[in-house]
Amino acid sequence: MRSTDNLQLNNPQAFGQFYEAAHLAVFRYIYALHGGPRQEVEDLTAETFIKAWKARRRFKGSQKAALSWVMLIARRLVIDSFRRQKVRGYQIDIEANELLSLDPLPEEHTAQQEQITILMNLLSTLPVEKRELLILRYVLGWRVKDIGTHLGLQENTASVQIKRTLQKLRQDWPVGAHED
Amino acid sequence: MQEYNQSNPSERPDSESIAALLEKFQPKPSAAFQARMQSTPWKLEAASPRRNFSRYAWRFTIVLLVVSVFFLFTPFAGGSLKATANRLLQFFIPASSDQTAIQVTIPPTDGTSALNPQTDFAASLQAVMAEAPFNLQIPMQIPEDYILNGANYTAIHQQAALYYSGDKRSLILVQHPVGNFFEQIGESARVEIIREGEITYEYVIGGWVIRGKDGEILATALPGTTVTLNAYWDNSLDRQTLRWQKDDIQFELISYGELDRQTMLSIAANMR
Repeated sequence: MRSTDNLQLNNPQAFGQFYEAAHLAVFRYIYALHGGPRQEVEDLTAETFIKAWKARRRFKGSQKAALSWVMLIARRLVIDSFRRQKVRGYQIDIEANELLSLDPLPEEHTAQQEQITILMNLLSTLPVEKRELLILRYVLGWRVKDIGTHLGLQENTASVQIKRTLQKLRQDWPVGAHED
Repeated sequence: MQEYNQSNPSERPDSESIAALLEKFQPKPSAAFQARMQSTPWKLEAASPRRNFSRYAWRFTIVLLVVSVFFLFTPFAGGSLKATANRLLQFFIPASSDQTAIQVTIPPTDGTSALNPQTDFAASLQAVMAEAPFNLQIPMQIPEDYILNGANYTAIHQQAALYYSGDKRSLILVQHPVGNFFEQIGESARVEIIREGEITYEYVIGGWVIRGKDGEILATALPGTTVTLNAYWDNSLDRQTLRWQKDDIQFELISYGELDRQTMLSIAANMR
């Protein structure tokens, strides 16, 4: 995404182009942060962009800033949804075939799907801010520097927190859970 | 990046493998979501050639994206309708497909659309009670965040409607004397029949939506004109309908937004 151009979100065509460029990232961000089910994730994604559209006149900045802005809207909606459920954790409901790069062998695909499910369950035990760090870094592929800017952290701090969070997931990984 | 033994998901992966797994989590929205996002306000505005009308587009979209398709069922109808009648439920009638044509008359753009709940339900409860030729039933138990926003009475159908709104959701209660007045649903709609005591309820999730080019036609049609549009049945729509009959009055409770079936049944069971 270009970062220097000033985006005119007030223009419906420009907003449409922005939506096309950003909706997949927002959908994946919400899915990983929220945990599903898909219908709820899609509702939250739609609501995020409708809120952004309604507030578009208040936004000024680049396309990169716009993505960061809608991510904040999405984050608030996900947290509101957790509050409605009155639990910070949630039931993970990841559908099959959610992976982009599937291994050719069905058994490997199944194994990978199981790993993703374990991982998403572990993610759900983390505080939202730690979960968000990993999602931005690995699911969305953001640079650490951009994550720091988005979350108001020093680049080094963001990097250290990402490493520590990965280590925590590793420690918490349920070894032998499937060895019946 | 190091890969760990993927054939054993219970083996503890290292940090790099966990990062690699996260990178593989790349879900995509469903086709239903993509279809739904074809009628977003920015798309409708972008398609509207008349700027002064475009500001009304979203309001029309909100209200008309979800439409009810009603028709009178007469004994003089042709063979195809008679065939359809074999599938007739108590209150709903399934269409032959998930697509149907509807006619919509665009209201005048005087700033007060007749489709706007604020003007469409402009009457007071007392006024509707006085006008309706039957004893209007009022819900005694509704969720705390709902407030009664207004009501209306349509003489031609002897139909009274109460409009409640809550936090990001709304509820419409329609009631009229029993007649051959059915709501059409899509072929794929699933009607749940619930029997409680002497009353049989029919419950459906979903609704007809106008989308794509038809949404654009709707947004750009001239005020006062009637347009024929295609409506599509969407089972994933956040709209729930509960219909039942009691003492020669037919009721319909329509919920937009989060309201579970049990709460709707509870509302229906507690009317006075």
